[in-house]
Amino acid sequence: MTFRAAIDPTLGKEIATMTTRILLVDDHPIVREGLKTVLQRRPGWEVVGEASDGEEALEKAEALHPDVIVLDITMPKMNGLEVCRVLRQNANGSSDGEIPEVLFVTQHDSPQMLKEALGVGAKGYVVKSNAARDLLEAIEVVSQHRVFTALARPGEKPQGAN
Amino acid sequence: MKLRILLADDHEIVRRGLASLLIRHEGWEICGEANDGREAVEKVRQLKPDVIIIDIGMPNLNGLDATRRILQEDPTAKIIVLTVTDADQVIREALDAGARGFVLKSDAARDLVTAIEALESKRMFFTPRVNELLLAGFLEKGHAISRNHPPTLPTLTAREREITQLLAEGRSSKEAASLLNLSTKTIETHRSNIMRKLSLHSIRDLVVYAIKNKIIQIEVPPDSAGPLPIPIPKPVPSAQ
Repeated sequence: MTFRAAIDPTLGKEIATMTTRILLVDDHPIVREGLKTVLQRRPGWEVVGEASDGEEALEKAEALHPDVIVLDITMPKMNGLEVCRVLRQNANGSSDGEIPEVLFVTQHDSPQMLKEALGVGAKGYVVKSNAARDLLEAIEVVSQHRVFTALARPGEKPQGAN
Repeated sequence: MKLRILLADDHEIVRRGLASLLIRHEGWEICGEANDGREAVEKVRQLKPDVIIIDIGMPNLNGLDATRRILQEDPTAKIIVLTVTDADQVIREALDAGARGFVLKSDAARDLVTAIEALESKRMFFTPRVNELLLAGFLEKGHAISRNHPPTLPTLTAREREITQLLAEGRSSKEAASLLNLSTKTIETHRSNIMRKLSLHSIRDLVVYAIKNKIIQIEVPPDSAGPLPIPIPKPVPSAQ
């Protein structure tokens, strides 16, 4: 979370607002477009960059220091699980700055994949078919370093707890 | 008069992306959206859109069968299919079904506007691979891929394909019956006809057939995650 000084026009004085900086990673531009459209509903959230494969994701993460990375799993060059693993490894080696939290948005509606995603250090897991519904809440929770997971299977409710 | 577009895709996030892309184009509007093939057929009836964008891999009724159904009811409907693959068989089926445009989902942000513009001026739009296939067909046979190329598999009727999809998705005969407003007995009769036609012996075989023939699609996990199991459908009461 980045704190930024802003002017409140009604009060005419500086107040602190929080911006959540988001990096979107998916190999389909049309999906990124859809994610952006949903994210625009939330003032104060900013899409700082986009990437279409795993390698580009790592480069952009390093250059842009996002708070949250919305990450696809199945992608060319390097899949999302691998990206997440590398991000965590790099973070362990250095002490400067905050590590971005990873929220997976994937077509895999599978408990095994969910387990694997949390295993590589992700904080969030949302299924693509429900992304339009779950995305905002998931980013909210994940940006506070808490866990949010939601499979699409009948009877499964989103888990927003720690 | 605006060009009215219907979007059918089971992922809302994809529909949001498509809508955001298309409404930037002057004179175009999204007149409706559908979550699956059955809803698409229904919405086309109600809304009479000028152009229909339809995803192939959708639950309940896939995009190709929805395309067939829509064109059966209105042969002038203009349909662009969205697909994750341009494998030859999928292309052939889409053309056979009567689609006038074929766009890869990965290229949709680039190609979809062009495809709709082509339809507006009474042309068609296909990916380079489709054009290659069409041309190859033209050179080989002296005419483009025709509607009566020899079927590679026993032909199921539209109803049978629809029931195949529902059963392969794990629905019971009773559930399929209620979805299609038919009796359970009718579904079971169809089911045994399908199994006989395709020489299949179990629902498991039917699932494999449905996957192979793209009636249903399954997710392919990345290598590191290991294989995901094919969903095992619930047992269906025997028709015999």
